[in-house]
Amino acid sequence: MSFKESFAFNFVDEVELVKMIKFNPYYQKISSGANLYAEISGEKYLNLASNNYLALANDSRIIKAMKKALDKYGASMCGTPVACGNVDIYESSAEFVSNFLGLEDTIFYPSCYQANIAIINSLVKPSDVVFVDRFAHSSLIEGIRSTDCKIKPFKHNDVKYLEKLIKNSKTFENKFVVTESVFSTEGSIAPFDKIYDLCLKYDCVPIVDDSHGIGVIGKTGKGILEEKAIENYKGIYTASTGKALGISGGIVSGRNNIIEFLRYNSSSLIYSTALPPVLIAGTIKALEIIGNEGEKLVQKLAQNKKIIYEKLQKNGFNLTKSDASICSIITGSNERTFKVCKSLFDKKILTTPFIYPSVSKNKGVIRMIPRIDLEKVQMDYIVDSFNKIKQQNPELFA
Amino acid sequence: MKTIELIKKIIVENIDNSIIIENNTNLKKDFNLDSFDVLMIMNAIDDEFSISLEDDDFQEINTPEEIVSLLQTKYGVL
Ligand SMILES: Cc1ncc(COP(=O)(O)O)c(C=O)c1O
Repeated sequence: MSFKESFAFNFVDEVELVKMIKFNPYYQKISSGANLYAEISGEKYLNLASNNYLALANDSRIIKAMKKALDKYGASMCGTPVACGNVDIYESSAEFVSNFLGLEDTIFYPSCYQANIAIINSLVKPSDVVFVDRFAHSSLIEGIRSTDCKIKPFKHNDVKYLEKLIKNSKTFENKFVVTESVFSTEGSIAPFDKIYDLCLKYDCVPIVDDSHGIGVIGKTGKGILEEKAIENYKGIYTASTGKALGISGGIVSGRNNIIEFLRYNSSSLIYSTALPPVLIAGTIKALEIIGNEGEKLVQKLAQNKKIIYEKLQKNGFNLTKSDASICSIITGSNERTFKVCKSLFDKKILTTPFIYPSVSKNKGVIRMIPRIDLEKVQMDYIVDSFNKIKQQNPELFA
Repeated sequence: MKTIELIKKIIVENIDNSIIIENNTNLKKDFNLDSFDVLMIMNAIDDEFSISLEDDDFQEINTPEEIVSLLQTKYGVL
């Protein structure tokens, strides 16, 4: 993403639109947690914008575990992991996370955004080539662009296209394939088993970002590796703990040698204050809950998604093809996207509008997370609200 | 296949198989190409003609005709 494509730069162009519709969907001031209802200016809004898929951010078991860790370790270690930030629960937690995922070793970054940039920046050299899904998250792209390597984007989830690109790339020192598991603006899931097979066949290092997959896909919520039945994964795995797990932070897992290399070569890890132990404790509790109840949680979430998705589709709304627990209504232009978002906001529903550069130009969507704590009454209300908005403003959905 | 036809085929294949483009279609304006779209087209041209386009080669280029002209003048493509 060049400067010109940055969110900030574009948003300046949208100021007029915001003025015209008297609504800015960004930086809403929320005075509650990420509960089912968010409080804004003293009013309650159905919160379909938060990535709190499993409502774990407000789960009493997690809060209790975090309070215990707060009492023991305090707010922060005020030191980087290499210096004095490497508390005992880091090591036991790394083992816990690795076992959960079926991988050898794990490190924690302050965020997955930071982790993605860091690992790519540490591992990829200018003499390497990176094949990257053209819809990959901004953090992955920023990491790739920071390396001066050859960048070869491939068509979204297109394995045939990727194979052709790889075959035509013989002169590079190392080859990497970078993708996400669940593409969060639309809900598509990468054919990562096939991508992984290509990596094995052509000796490429796979990097998969499972931020919207962990806790959400796979039969028991273990994410993309479980979803695609990949065993003995030899590549690199990253995930945010700030979505379905309900906490905050970034996980990087993989083989011992790669993780050990990053421990000593990833400057964003070495020179940044260690993720506070309280967040590690919360993450472990969340994974414990998913480990015990994952299957049930994933099923309920998928059921909520199916109900909303199918009802909206039946009522003539145009949704992205979504295999994960994400419902995105295609709105197209920035103007329509913001106007639909505002109409929903007027009906006390909080959603996420995605416009360029988060999605391609004029391919705007309104995203809703069909969170697990939605009941029938709220799901009916969502569909009803869309229908009313369409009745009043058919042009927004034409 | 003539170079211009080949270029148009590459563009369509890399952006969207349903679009129709002419020799003088303004690609960036008419199809809202972003930097990854442009990169995909450039990489495909590199592979097709066994050349190595430079990062800023496409900065001023908007149409298939202009791409052909660049390939002919700078890279000796016939
Ligand atoms: C695919 C993907 N990767 C990484 C991130 C960043 O994660 P974090 O919030 O932990 O920095 C996000 C969050 O927006 C994401 O959707």
